[in-house]
Amino acid sequence: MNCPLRAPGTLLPATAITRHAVLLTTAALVLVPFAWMVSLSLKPPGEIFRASFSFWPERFNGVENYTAALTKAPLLQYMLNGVLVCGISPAGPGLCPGGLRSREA
Amino acid sequence: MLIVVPGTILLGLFIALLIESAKSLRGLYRAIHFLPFMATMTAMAMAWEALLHPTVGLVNQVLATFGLLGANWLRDEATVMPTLAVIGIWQNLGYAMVLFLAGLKAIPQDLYDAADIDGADMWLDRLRTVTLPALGPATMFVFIVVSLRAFETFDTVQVLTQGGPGHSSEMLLFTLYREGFQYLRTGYGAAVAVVFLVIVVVLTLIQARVIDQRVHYQ
Repeated sequence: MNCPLRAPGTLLPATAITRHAVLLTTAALVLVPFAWMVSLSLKPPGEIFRASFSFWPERFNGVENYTAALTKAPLLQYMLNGVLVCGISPAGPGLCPGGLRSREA
Repeated sequence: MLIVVPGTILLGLFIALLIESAKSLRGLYRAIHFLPFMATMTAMAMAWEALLHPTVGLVNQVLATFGLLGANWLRDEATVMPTLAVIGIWQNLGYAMVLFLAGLKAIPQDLYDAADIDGADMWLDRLRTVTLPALGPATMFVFIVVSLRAFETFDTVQVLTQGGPGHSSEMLLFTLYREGFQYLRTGYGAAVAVVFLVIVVVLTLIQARVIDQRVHYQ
């Protein structure tokens, strides 16, 4: 029997294809901003503000962009700051009395 | 925001049900849909700004290829809030989906078996009689959390609109920040903070009351 809302993966082929089609569409829509960001990160300034659209740049500017991103700011210091925050913040709830205790249902 | 909450809940539920309905590629779909929630919103707001640019943005270019007239999404009073709402849905969708997935996993198989015996043969019957009622607690939780997250929208407003055009996209937290720290009207800013706190407390109280009394079946 076909049970779309139960755990086992026993869909009819048509249902399975529809499922993949819908999920791929939503996944693509969700990923558009990420893809666009990556695309912009590879382009020289002139191509970003061009009216025609292409995902891949005509002149590959990725090396320059990423070198600038990694060297223009003290990135290591920032990362160290991030590590500090990450190391401290999980300890916070643990130190509060009852902070990590789960609620009784 | 009135659009974000129902939009997030419905879409999140829909995607969670679809993902859970079969095994293939389940992990991939889960990861992709959860990605926006993991991403830094300030950085993603920059990507959205590029997407929504009135002349070179992808959104308007795609609309133009279909012969539709785009809009100046973030600079038009009529479109700025819906646009921010779509970004909000995009961001919170994955979170709602994960919570619904957890809720779906927690539904005992016996309920489906019982429904089967009682004649719920179509998937719609099962959805209506078992899945949705059993997801009540999860839905309530998603509702509260997403409402709070919608109220505390700050990054998108700060990066994309600065509360403009006019005051059409001012949000509570953005007003707090601007009044308190940029205009240095500390009293006003503090009052906004208190209002915000009251909203958070009220929503949490509703959650405590309703979740514990109304939506549980055990």
